[in-house]
Amino acid sequence: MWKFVHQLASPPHFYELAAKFIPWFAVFALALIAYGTVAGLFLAPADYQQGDAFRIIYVHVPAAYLSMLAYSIMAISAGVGLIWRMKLAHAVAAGAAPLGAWFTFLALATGSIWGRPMWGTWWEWGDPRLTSELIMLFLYFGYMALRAAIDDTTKADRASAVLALVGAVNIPIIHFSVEWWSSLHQGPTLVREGGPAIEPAMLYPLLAMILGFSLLFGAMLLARVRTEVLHRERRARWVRNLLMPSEGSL
Amino acid sequence: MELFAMGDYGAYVWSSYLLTIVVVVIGTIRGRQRHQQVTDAIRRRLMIKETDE
Repeated sequence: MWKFVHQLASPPHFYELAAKFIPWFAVFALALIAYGTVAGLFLAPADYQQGDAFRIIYVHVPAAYLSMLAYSIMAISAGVGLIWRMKLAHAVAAGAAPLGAWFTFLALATGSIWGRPMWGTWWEWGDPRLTSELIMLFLYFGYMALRAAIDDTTKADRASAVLALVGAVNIPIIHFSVEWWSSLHQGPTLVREGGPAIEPAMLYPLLAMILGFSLLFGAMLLARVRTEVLHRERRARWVRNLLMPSEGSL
Repeated sequence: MELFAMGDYGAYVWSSYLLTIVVVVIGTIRGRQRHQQVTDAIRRRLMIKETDE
């Protein structure tokens, strides 16, 4: 087991292995998203309260889910990097941040577009779900700005890891916000007591979209971490051999 | 055509999906640009080093 972990964490090995996984992730992701999009937009029946506007959930829910998944991956990796001084873990955290920010933006934007016809407003400042999600966007920005401001990679890793871990307190707040406080945002539909409160013709496309977007995120994350690893290892011999194979490969 | 109208919510539904595509495409392109930048920077440095030696 430990041998496997060490091998995986070795930069050249990871760099090579990730490249092999990315196309597979992308292929399954696109297949699931294609099914989810067609079924969600055209096959699932319209909601009896929300009409066709409910179809926005097929992009909104995966985006919101990924915004939190990306933060969790970022915070856990940052923690692992901090405790065990594993460089690959810091690279994962750094790679997850911009993607998390993009999906947080997407969750906020699609939620806003849904809110306009359903709640009659694009944005509601007092709403805890909306506010905590917005705070997460700023946490991502802060994390990235902090990294960009520190030239020394090791110092940037440590400082940004602390920020990521402190900000992780926001994750349970986002998740439970709709239960803890009264909120405009609707309560949980999938993960709740008594099982999902949604009929199968609406549920399966949603599950396909969540899984499909997760795989797509996986491919995007692996690609970003490869770039991070390459940059961090820029002085290593394997990088030199990889980029200039004709010379000095003795 | 009625299928694409989405009741009265066509503009909301389609703009959400369009935005999703835009975000995924931008996220992917920016990732690739960064990879290219990193690769170019390393190659440049290696080439300078070799002419020095």
